[in-house]
Amino acid sequence: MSSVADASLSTPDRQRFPLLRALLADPFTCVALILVTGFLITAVFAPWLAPYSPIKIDVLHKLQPPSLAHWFGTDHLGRDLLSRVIHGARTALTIAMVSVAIAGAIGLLLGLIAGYGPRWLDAILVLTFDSLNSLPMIMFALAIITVLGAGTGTLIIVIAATSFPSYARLIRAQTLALRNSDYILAERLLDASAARIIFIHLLPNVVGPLIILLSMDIPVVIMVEAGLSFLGLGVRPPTPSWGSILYDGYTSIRAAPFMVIFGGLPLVLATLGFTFLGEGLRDYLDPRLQLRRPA
Amino acid sequence: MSPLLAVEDLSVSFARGGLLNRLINPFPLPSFNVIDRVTLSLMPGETLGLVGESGSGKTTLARTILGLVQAAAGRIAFEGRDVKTQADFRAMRRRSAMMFQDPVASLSPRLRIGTLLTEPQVIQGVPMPDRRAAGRALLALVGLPASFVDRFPHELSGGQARRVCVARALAMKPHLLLADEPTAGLDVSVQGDVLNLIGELKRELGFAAIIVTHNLAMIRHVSDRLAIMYLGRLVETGPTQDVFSSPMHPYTATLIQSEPIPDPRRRGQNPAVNGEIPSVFRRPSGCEFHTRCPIARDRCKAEAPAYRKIGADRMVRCHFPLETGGQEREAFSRASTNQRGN
Amino acid sequence: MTGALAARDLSVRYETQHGSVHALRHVDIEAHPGEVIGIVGESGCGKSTLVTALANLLPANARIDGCISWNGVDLAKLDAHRQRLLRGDEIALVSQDPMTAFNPVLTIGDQLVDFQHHRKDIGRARKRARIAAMLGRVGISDAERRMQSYPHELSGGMRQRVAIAAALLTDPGLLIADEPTTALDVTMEAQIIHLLRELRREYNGIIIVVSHHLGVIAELCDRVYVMYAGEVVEGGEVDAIFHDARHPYTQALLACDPARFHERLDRLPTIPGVLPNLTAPPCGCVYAPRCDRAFAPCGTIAPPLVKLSASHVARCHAVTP
Repeated sequence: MSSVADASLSTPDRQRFPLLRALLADPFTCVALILVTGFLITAVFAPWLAPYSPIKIDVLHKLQPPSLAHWFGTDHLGRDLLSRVIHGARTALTIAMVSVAIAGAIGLLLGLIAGYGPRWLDAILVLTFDSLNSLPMIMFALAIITVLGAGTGTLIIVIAATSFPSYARLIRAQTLALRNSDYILAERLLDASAARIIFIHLLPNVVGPLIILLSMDIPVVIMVEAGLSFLGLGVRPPTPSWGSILYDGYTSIRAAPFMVIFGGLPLVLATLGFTFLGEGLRDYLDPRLQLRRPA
Repeated sequence: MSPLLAVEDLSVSFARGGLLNRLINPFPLPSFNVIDRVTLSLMPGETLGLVGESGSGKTTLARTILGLVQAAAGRIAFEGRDVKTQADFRAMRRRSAMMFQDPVASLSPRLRIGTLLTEPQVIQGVPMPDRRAAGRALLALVGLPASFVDRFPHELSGGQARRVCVARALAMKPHLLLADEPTAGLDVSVQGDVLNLIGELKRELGFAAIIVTHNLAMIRHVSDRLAIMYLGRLVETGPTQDVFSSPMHPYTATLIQSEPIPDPRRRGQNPAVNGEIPSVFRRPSGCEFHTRCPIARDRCKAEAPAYRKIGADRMVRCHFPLETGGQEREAFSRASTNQRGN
Repeated sequence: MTGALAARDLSVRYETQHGSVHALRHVDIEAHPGEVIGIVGESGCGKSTLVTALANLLPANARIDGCISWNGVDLAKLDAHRQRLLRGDEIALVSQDPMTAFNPVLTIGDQLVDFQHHRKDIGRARKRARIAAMLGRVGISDAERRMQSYPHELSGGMRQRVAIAAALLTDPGLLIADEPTTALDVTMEAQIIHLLRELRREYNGIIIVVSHHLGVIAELCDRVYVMYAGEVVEGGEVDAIFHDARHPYTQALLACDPARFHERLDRLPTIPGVLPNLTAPPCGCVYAPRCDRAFAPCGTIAPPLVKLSASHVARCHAVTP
């Protein structure tokens, strides 16, 4: 329902899909949204979109340059590169988004508790964050894999566990800056519960930078996944991932440079897409950054 | 009639250095009283003006009364009962309200005005069938258009945000309102609006108020009694009219004289006081005002004056209070003129 | 007689995404050497835009019409280089918050030496001596020690004194003090007013004091311009403005000041209504929607500037000389 506004005080109209409208208003965010949506659709419908099986080996046609039959060419085992890139999107996005989401949620919660909770709890949590941060990721991954075995699930656990401390520290710093602000004091005076203050008043004001960071970290995680997969600590070999395509490409970069290009291109586009989307979201989430009417 | 709020010997000290420093440092830094033995009482329905310059501790005192700052010593009683534990403070806060100096900063920035206005009711579990309608009713109470329910705090002007804060403070019909600089940053044509609104609602709802301010021109029209603070201590209290017509503490007198008069025919010749307010960390010996006082004598440097009662309803912390028309008053005006001359 | 500084039919508008904001419209002011000019008005009245225009510091999206003449030179038509020279030498600005006027990592002495960079003719030692003398003039007793301090080590009142000293170092012909006492406590405010009043005895340039505080204006100024919604609605000798105000807005503004009443008032006077929208200023009198004396022409015809006496003018249909 729209309320009646008097002439001199124009109220912003309540529109449908305000988030989408705001995001599409900015050309960069618009491009980002198209890219991210494209990758998501590719990931979801990979089996239907891919022209060939991504794991079918055809050594006779290895390292074929791009052609009508194989748009992206074939790799050193003769697998269709386009199909591997399409299926790789599924692997990359699943791992990146799930692990970043888990890490973000844990970081957000623990950061808020550390920032707003009692000081002794803060001390314990900060110690925990720093200890986890100091673990070398590869060693940690090796240790976890020894216990759980390699695979997608393990990869997600490793990435989430090593990246949430930095998110938590960011949120904690933001929360500390806000805990003595006037509006939090005002809420305390209204006798608002700690949960209410944390989730209604602190969370929306600290989550903005986290969302940008998470969005920008998704491509980093895709790279990490690629690196770990290359070391044999991530996705098992026949499963296609952008990382493994890239690393396969490096080994035959002189014979078939197109492999690195087509393996790297989605990574670059995903990085741009998620980064711009993060910035667009930040602008939307902080109403103070929106252009104000002239006074 | 028993007082609504009684504060006795309330002190707040800021320890210097962190906990670890205090535990292991063999030469611990002494702690300082930013509020020092303040005694106040407030009758139901009364308006007290708490006046002082920046650094006088008036905001800290207001926050301590509601338990936002922890007191080091002293006693607070609200509606006849001692307020000691966190539960006591919570119970007291349910029957009191505070308005902050910066109205926009005291409203949660991501929530809409309608949500913010009805938050006190939601927190205290008051049943509300239609939250938007309740928000509109509160906006109407403070004279703002109903369309404001969908606005964000940063979209309001200073005066509008003040009104929202008034509505929010008074939504639960408190017995006590603490207002910190309720007119800071407002234009003179708007500040009257906000004060009239508080005055009207006060007559209607009958709450008592403490108004923290440095604006003397404003406070003389809205308060019944005044308490003047200097460096965390009360230096004078009394009925507003009496304090303005015959200030007893030289500091009060200099404050009143310093106020610029909007009349070019009555230009003050010279400033009533020189020097600056000292830091609480380096409190002067004896009477802390002696460094700036135009009539300070030797005794003032050595001996701290007691906070004593003069007449029926006035208290003053001065060895040589200015009596109406008496010798001291003449000495004061002479001394301050001489001091200004140099 | 033409003053050293004069603005004639000066209009400034800001081009924004939401249209042009007509922040200043048809402003005429003049100031003569040795005068203290007060510009008073509430927020949104355009007083900041006016002084920024006088100091040539308007942002890039501002468009100026009319002329600002300074000793016969039209400032708006000067090229950027000469504008900058003029700004450094002739025009000095003291802002509301002196903390932001200083670089926090340099000592006061170093910054004040820097302010004299255009004086190639005198050496560093001589510059420091000038600073010490100037700090003494603004009432800072231990000037040598203060020159070693950093801005944050000074109190608000002290910083404002230093800011005034810095402004006077270049011996400007025009000193603009924008809300010089707003950030200060009342006892410091009285001291800064006193200081400015003392300084004008030896200073023979123009001082412009901008304030929303009627008391400060009454204490300091010789002539006053009252602004409302981007226009000068009344101007005249300070005594005429405070004791014989003719424009309804000036009268209402004066009536609102609680400092004028010594007896307790149950209701403080206010001015009902809101400022007009400056993206589309009303075609008649800007104050008509809030004016209790508005009559037929006020809503449609912009009132002329009525000359009431040699120096007293008011922009209102209801006043007659």
